[in-house]
Amino acid sequence: MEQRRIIQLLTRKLAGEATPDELHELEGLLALYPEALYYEETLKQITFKNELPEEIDIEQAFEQHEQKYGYEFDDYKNQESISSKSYVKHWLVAASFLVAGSFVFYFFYHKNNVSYAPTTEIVCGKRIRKQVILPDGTSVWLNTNSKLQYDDAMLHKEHREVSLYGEAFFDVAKDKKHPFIIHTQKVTIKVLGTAFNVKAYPGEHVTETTLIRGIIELSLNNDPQQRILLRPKEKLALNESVSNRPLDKSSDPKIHNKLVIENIEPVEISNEDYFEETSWVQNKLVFKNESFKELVPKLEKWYNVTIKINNQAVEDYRFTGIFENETITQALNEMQIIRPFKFNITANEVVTIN
Amino acid sequence: MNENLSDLTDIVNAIAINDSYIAYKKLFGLLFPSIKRFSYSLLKSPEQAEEVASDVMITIWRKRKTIASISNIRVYAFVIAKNLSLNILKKNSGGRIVSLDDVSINLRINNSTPEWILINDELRKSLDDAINGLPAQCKIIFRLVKEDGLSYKEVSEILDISTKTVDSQLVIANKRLSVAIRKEFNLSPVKKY
Repeated sequence: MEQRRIIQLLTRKLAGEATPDELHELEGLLALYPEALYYEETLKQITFKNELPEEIDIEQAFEQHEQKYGYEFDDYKNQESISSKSYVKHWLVAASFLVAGSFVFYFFYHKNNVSYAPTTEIVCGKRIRKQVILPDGTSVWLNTNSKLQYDDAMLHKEHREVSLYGEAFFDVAKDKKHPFIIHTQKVTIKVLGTAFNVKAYPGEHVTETTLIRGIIELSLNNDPQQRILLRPKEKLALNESVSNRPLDKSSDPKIHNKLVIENIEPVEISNEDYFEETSWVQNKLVFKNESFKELVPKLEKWYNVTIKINNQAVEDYRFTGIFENETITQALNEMQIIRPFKFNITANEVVTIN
Repeated sequence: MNENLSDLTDIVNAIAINDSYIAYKKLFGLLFPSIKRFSYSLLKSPEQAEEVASDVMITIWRKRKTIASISNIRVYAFVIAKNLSLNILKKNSGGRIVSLDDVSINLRINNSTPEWILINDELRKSLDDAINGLPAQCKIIFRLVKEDGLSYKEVSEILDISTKTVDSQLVIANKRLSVAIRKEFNLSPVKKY
């Protein structure tokens, strides 16, 4: 049985799986049966013919791979320095965020592109929403009470830059060589080919960015080093807390912003999916299981009215629905069908609910 | 193949944590050739092998959020390649081929290396015959260990068999080869003193 044992040990040796004991044993056996060295030498030299008819050209193979699947990973091409996930996790755990507190960075962050000077300004007044096509082909739906500024010559600049005050939905034209950058008061968003919603009304405490498809990179103007990558169906809200916590001196007084990333869920109404965050683009106001109290600011903005609720019980009524072309009276009438309440509208558009 | 495992772990982590395109491209360079060759040995079609290898890579990218917990990405890639290839074979054969044992594998010894110039064609032919007379699974194991330099453990995970089976199948392969070698060199069978 020595023959069998020699082959067994040789096999393990050639596969790199022999233990020191086995190697030792093999040495002893080879000394006794020197002709077995022929086996070792010959077996060692066996290599197989390349099975493929052609050599593999890695560069070419990757190019083909990219042609087929590149849409899944091409957006990540230019973001090697970013380790977004760990930051995001860190922030989520901390649930609060250090803020140096000013607006100044907004002007310094892109100091290498000082050339950006908006030449055009588009303003949507109250109750007006409109779609704008920028010189590069990007579509912007500007929500009510919002302002968008851009440079007419943006195509000839290194970056396509716009400034937004208020809320807008962007469907950015693809152009990898010229990143699309949106400046808002608190955050700067760099687009890597995509459709998303930005809500950054000056004076409101929340800056919200909701991504529908593609990838965007977001940085806070007061901390441009920190960057966050947003994935589809994710919403990032930057909340400015109103309280300055004067009583709690032990904690860092600078902490007064809160950053929350959450997944958005479509609202299903009569078998259609709607995203609450972007439905305004189609002139729809969508809400799901929201209390009347939560709905008030949305209705106010939508209909440009002031709403007062004088009844605690009514404030807690919950509603799900879509408003499209309804007037405020029609909308409230429809809501009355679901839960009973009374309202009257005065001439200067003040709605009182009892 | 284990020498760049820590390297491989770094690459996998860069993909899993940072969605790194550069790391993905690197991983592609490291895995694609062996995956394509392995798939080709099963499928015998360069186009299908290319497709399988490409699908294996994109699967890794799609699952990048979970790949950091996979202990061996190379094994993972081979397993996907095996399954995808078997699916294609099954479809092509109208459902006949269900396991690797039903696949025909052709291994041909490379006789263009300097060492083999000294060894005559007859030996090469009888070694080829010896190898190709082996059962399919045995050939696949032999191929994975010799060609791709995989360990017993890796092969056992890819083929879902024990390391003992890997060892015994390899011993069977080498025994057949040693018979051909013995004839060629006119060696007397090893006997006890």
